[in-house]
Amino acid sequence: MPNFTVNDTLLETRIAQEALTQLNLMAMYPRVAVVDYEDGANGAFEVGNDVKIRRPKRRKARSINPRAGVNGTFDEAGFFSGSVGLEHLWFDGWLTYGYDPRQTINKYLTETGRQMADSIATPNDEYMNSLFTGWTATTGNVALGAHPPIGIAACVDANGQITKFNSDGLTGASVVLNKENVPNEDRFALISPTATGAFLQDAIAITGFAASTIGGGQIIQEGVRGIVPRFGFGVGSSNIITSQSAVADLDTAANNQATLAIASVSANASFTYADYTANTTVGAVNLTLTCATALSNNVAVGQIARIGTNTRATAFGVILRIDRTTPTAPVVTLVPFAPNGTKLGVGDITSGTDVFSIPSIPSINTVNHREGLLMATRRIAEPSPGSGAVAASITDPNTNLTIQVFRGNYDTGTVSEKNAYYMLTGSKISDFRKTALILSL
Amino acid sequence: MPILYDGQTGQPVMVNPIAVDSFLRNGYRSEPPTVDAPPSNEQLPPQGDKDDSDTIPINSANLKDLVDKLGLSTTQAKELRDGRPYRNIEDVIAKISGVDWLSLSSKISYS
Repeated sequence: MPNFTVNDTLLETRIAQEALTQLNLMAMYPRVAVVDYEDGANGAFEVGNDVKIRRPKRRKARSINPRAGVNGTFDEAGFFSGSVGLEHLWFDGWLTYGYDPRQTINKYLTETGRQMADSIATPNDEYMNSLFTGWTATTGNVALGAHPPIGIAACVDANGQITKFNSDGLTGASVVLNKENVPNEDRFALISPTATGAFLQDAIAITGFAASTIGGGQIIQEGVRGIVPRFGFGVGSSNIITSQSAVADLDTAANNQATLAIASVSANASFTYADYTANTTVGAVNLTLTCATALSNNVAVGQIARIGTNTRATAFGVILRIDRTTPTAPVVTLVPFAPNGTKLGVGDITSGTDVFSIPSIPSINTVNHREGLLMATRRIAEPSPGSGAVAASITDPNTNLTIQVFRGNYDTGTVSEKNAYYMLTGSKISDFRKTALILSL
Repeated sequence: MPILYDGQTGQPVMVNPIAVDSFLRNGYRSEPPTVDAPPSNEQLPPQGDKDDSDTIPINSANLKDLVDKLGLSTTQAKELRDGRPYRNIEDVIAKISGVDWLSLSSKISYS
């Protein structure tokens, strides 16, 4: 512990401030999410509580002419309301000893704050990233709303194989979002370190002068720092981005079969849009596959399938359902998207020519409009007066990220005391239409 | 990513490692469903090929062993005893909350 005697009660506050500063710099997903509005500063929450979330509905002005009797009318402001469950109480704790080396207060704060922020940022980013692939098994009719993305754009080479991240991925993601009328502002793409490297190499400096502060010249010089605007997206780098391993053998028969023939394709009416009163399907298709014995158990809901040939990728799609009632003719349900982000239909897949596979996808980069990803943080109850513990709770007014630092429980036997920090948080995808995936190396 | 299986339909689902515990608590299984009907209570097969000599037989151990060797509270041990029989760790997770069963699974046998 630093050697100082004045202003002891401010130590935890300083630690929390430093940690929050670092967390704001390190954490990626909280930057691209919308935070809740309900004031929680005076409340005490715990894991499992719900926090109200709302966002304004889009409105459209009307043309009025009061002299002609065409008057303006007033209606409700119109908010979409929902809730986010506080699913995680991130915690880490350490002991400080009376015989720790003496150091300056500033150095101690810097080291501790960064350590704390790094401890929280990684698992929280992993948690928020997991929402983009978190499908569950379903049966019957499913109204899609607060679900992971089904829209896909892919960076593919001339043979339709997954290739390095490039601008095609972002333009394809634009197509996916534009088709769902997602607002153009506040779109974000978080990409893997490998994709970031390709992204840097893909940057083109403006010919004629070294534009060090704009466009490709800037990111060539500075790299992808924070969120970089590109092709209508705020692009950020995150090492949390996940990947998919290929399924080498799709059939439980003796020989390895990396692809399966598609016997037939039909429309699926089970998956619809939740916010339309009339059932409007999302455009899922049923692929009836041909198996010698049965579909492997390694083919799973949530995986991304490839449909095409070895020289052309017709479509990619997230597997929504698997029906193995007939072992030799399993049915896989997905919504097919061409690599350029165009949603395809039954007629775009050629049974007998296109085959089904589960490919290796090194980077499943995530895309979202800010309103598509919600996040809430709240405070747990601080130690009561007289408990002997000291507490500091800090909330960033811009991101609503909250860190709490508690210190206490001095042990005279070991000359140590406990330090703990917490962040109670929850997140969810509010609208699958405002999210997408970009596949790349 | 790991694959778990829906307890009702048997559909395989790709699960992010951070969410495995949550899925298991909601009835998903780590092994695909078997074709045959489950055995009767008197004939519970042990899980896997694990050597059971160093493990605690969760379906027959007494309260003291459950408390001492698994680090459970008396209440948890009683709850565990009352929820028998168990065929696998998913059965335990589904019935008894508040314990990190995944970290204890290597110490448990089902004979």
